[in-house]
Amino acid sequence: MSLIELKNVSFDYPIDSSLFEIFRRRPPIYIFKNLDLKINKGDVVGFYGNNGSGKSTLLKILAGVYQPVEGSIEINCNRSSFLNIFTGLNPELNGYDNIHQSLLMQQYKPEYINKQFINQIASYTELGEALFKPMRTYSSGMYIRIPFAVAVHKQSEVYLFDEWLSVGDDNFKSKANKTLDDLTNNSSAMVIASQSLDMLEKKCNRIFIFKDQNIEER
Amino acid sequence: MILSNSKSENMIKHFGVLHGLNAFRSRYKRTVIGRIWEASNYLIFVLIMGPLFGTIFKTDYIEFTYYLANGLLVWNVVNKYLNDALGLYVSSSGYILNTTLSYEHYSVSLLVSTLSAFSVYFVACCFVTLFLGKSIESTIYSLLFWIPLFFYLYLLSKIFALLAVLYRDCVPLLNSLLSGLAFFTPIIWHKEYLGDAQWVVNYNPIYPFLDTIRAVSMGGSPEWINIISQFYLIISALILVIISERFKHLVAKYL
Repeated sequence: MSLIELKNVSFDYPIDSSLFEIFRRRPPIYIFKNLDLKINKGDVVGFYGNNGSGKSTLLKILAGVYQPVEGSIEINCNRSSFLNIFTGLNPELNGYDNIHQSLLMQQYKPEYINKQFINQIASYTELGEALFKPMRTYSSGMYIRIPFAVAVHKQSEVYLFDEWLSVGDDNFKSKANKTLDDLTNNSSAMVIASQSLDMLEKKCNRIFIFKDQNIEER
Repeated sequence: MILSNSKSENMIKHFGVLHGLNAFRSRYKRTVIGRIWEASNYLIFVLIMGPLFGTIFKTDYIEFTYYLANGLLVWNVVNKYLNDALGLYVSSSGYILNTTLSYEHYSVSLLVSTLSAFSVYFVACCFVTLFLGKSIESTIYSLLFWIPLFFYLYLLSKIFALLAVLYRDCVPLLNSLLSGLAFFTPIIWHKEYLGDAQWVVNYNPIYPFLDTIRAVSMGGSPEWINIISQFYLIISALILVIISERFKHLVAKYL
């Protein structure tokens, strides 16, 4: 049994959302049509394509953000998505408060929402006393450590990445890369959408090319 | 490292509740008087317009200011809640497009942030009541009658938020309707001023809640007709919410 299986999936975006749309029946413009895809245990899948080719849209369908307009999607695993890890950060709040809010946003189980687990994530960020200051005072390198630390502490079978993450200064970057490699090794499957074919060739064992509303496995 | 001075010590486990509290808290974070700003408009309006209109209408200006303070408290909450509801999904698009949180969280977040603002308005209203030499006992008792109003607004907010995303014209349209409704609601004027045309007010979907809360807060009793109207309005909103659930999956796509 596949971890994720898409059957005949099609997706389109609305052109307009004015009141006149109630009376107008325009043919949909599909991003992709009748797509079949299986993600199995051990797959590290890469989505490669230019801007607007639909790779992020497909990632959002796999994550459950979008519902396909046609076809069906079968999910037999739990997933964590790294679509935009900056989502949900409040610059007026301090690092600890943002960790607390991000844990809830990432839908961690209630038993994880405790001081001990927050401290564990806080110490992973290596931000020290800065964690008591509002995040608007952080540099961009410091800023990204909080959502990254929250995201990588979640245990899932399948991880979905919109672009591979590169975090912080040299010291922290090597720690972050090691964490991501551990995630790859310990997960059942992984999907990475990227515009870097080199990176995908290094990380993935299956690569799909998105071009002209078509998706082909290389 | 310990969480000694972190606000996270309360360990709220519902995203909507925490997000609503944080949104309200961070709005006035770097200001001198903080959350009191929330009530400043209300206080200025009541303390200036109360005596002014009381004089224009040739009534006891203390009684009129008291009447205005209680009516405006209800209207400010209704207006804030429904206006914020129109932007609820649009302003939460970052979350909606990047997480799989249930939409219930955003509705709860709006409810919590409005309740936080209401708590400031309510204290300001109590302050005005004491300033006018009235007792705040009945004002506090009126809190019970706010519960149906908040439930009604919670349901309406779901419908407003969905309409605002699916049909973008609904934002200016509903904004204009709300502005019109403000004039159509007896806040500055009394229903009796309309004479034979008083029946018009009975079609106002906010009036049964407003009149009940204001009557109780000013030491009177609620009218049964208003309580029954509240029941029917809540049931109608509930039916609309159930129907609108069918279209909720379109929200992410239309953002």
